[in-house]
Amino acid sequence: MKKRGGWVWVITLFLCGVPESFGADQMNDWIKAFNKNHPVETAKMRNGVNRGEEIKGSDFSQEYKELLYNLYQGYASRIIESKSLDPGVTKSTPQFEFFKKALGKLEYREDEVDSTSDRIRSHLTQLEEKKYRLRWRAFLHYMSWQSQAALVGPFETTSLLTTNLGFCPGVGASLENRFWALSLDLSGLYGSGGVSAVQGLVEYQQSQVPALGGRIAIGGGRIVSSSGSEVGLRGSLLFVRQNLTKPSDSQYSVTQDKMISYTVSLFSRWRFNRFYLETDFGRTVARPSTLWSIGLGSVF
Amino acid sequence: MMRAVLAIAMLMAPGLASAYPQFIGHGYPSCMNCHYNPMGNGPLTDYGRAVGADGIASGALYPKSWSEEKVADLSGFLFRTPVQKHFRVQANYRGMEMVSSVGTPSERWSWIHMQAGGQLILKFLENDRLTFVGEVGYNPSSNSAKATGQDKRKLRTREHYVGFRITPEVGVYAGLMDKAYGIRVAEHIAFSRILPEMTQNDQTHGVMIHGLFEGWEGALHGFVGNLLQAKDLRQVGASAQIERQLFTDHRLGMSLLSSKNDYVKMLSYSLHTRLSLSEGSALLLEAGQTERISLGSRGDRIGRYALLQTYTRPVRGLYCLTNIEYMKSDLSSAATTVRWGPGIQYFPVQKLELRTDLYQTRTFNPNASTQDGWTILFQTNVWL
Repeated sequence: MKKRGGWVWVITLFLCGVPESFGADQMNDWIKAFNKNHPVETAKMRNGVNRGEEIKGSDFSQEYKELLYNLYQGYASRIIESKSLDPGVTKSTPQFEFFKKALGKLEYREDEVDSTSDRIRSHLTQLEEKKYRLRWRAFLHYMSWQSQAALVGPFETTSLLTTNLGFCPGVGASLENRFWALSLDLSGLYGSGGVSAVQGLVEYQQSQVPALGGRIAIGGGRIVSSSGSEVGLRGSLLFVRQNLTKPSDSQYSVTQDKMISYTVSLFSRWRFNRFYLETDFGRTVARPSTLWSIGLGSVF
Repeated sequence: MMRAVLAIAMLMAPGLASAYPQFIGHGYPSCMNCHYNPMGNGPLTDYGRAVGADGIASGALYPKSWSEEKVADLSGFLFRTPVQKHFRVQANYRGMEMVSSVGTPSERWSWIHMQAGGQLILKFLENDRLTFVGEVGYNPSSNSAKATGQDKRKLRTREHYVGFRITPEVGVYAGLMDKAYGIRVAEHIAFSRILPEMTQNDQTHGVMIHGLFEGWEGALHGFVGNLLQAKDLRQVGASAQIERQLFTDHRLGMSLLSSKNDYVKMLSYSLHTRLSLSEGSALLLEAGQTERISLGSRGDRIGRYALLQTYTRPVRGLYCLTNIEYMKSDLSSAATTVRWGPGIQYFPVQKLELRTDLYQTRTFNPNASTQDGWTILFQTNVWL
């Protein structure tokens, strides 16, 4: 029901009956009648609903009960016609709740009142779930990536490979509703890696070479469960500064990858109230390099 | 090369299970809900098959007029509703297209028949308190067996046991079964199964006592090794696994396994958790260590492993998963291996599972940097 959105809602309304759409004039007439034509009954009803005072159905006329019912359906109609949680819904909802309680106390047309109430609750839940909210978060990821380099000598070029591990502390913002999320993450990167030759005859090996950098990531995800589990795609710009030592032999030089690379990755996120676990697995564009990370974060 | 491919494929061959530990995400914390073996794996109960049909498999391909009851009624053997309650037959096939050494000159594609087997279940007394479960299946020859020509058997039984529930809470099971240890994930290639030797051919004859109480579940398993193996190779020992239920559907557990044969003595221990994150989303985490002592020769070593399996279910029948594994097979060595495996598991209709896994293996060694290894698997699992 929630996921299929509009179509299911239209079908449900068709099958169950759409609350009658009331014109603004008609509603104004009823509101006037409620406030002015039945002052004693309205005062009693307000005390009954707002203060919990006892109400006897026999104290209220049939005409008044019908007026309450019409107002109840009128506010329901206003809410149903809203496509978002706009000010109209915000204003109409307390009125709707008031008339629902009033009719409940009078035990008047209970089945119809309950049926309308169920539809309104479902509609409001849908509107609530569609509403996008901005959320901030902080996280710490543990990341691994590889980078290439070349040792250029007088007679041959040797391929070097660096395998890195590092930490990425960062902050992010998400614009999300119950079903979708768009996110922007900024993080620093500090790590180190070991380098060695993977092709060629020349030996070259270094360990614990420091790497410093940052990452900017933009992603979009689908939230697939009520607990907030999310799966999505992310594009990242990764900036890494890592200087490999040049061999003492002046005939050799080291050529490294560009410091900026772009990655496309698949991420998943599992939430535990304010905290979440995230995994990320991606590929660097135009380079034979894979990046993965696992991390914890907190939403605030 | 072909032998190596076959050996890897056999390691990857999952058990008979078509219900998996991640289904805790559907509110099934205990394997006993769906399996005759209370610790999981092996044939599914009638209820488990119905859950697979109604709760797990996608309903998108069924005619709209079919109710969930009708779909469940088709979950029996050969799509029939059982007419008697004492006898069940099941059969399954699992095959896999494996692409190894992806992106290298030695990239290879090969189709592997991993498993083709039949299961027989006899059950008696109220609530099936007494069960006999037997399984026989096709057994692809292992790499070493092929090389030496020693293993001629093409059929293998991985499970045959008698189970008796003394009370609804306590049961005794005797026969050939998997050892009670850790999270019984389907992937036999998982480091969490390789290091403590819990892979697809490591079943053992023994007696297991299983208990399921309010908030607790556990098993104590004494075993004498697989009696079909040579006596000197049989691992004799005991294992125990216990899980505590946390909140509504989460589990936190620990395991211990001690065994020895004429050549090696092993002690494994692990902690694990299975977390249900609703509507099919789940996290499984296990971390453990195995001490392996060679008797009469050098080669003692302690290995450490961890497994994180993550699941999300975007739509009914479809699961996005990630296997993240860590292994240090010898604590005295510098090398550490991390394997990262995103995958998709799809149950388009009941009795059919399609699965694709991508495995990236990265080795961390301060003395050498190596290229990642890549493997892709396309699995098909059919059960009748």
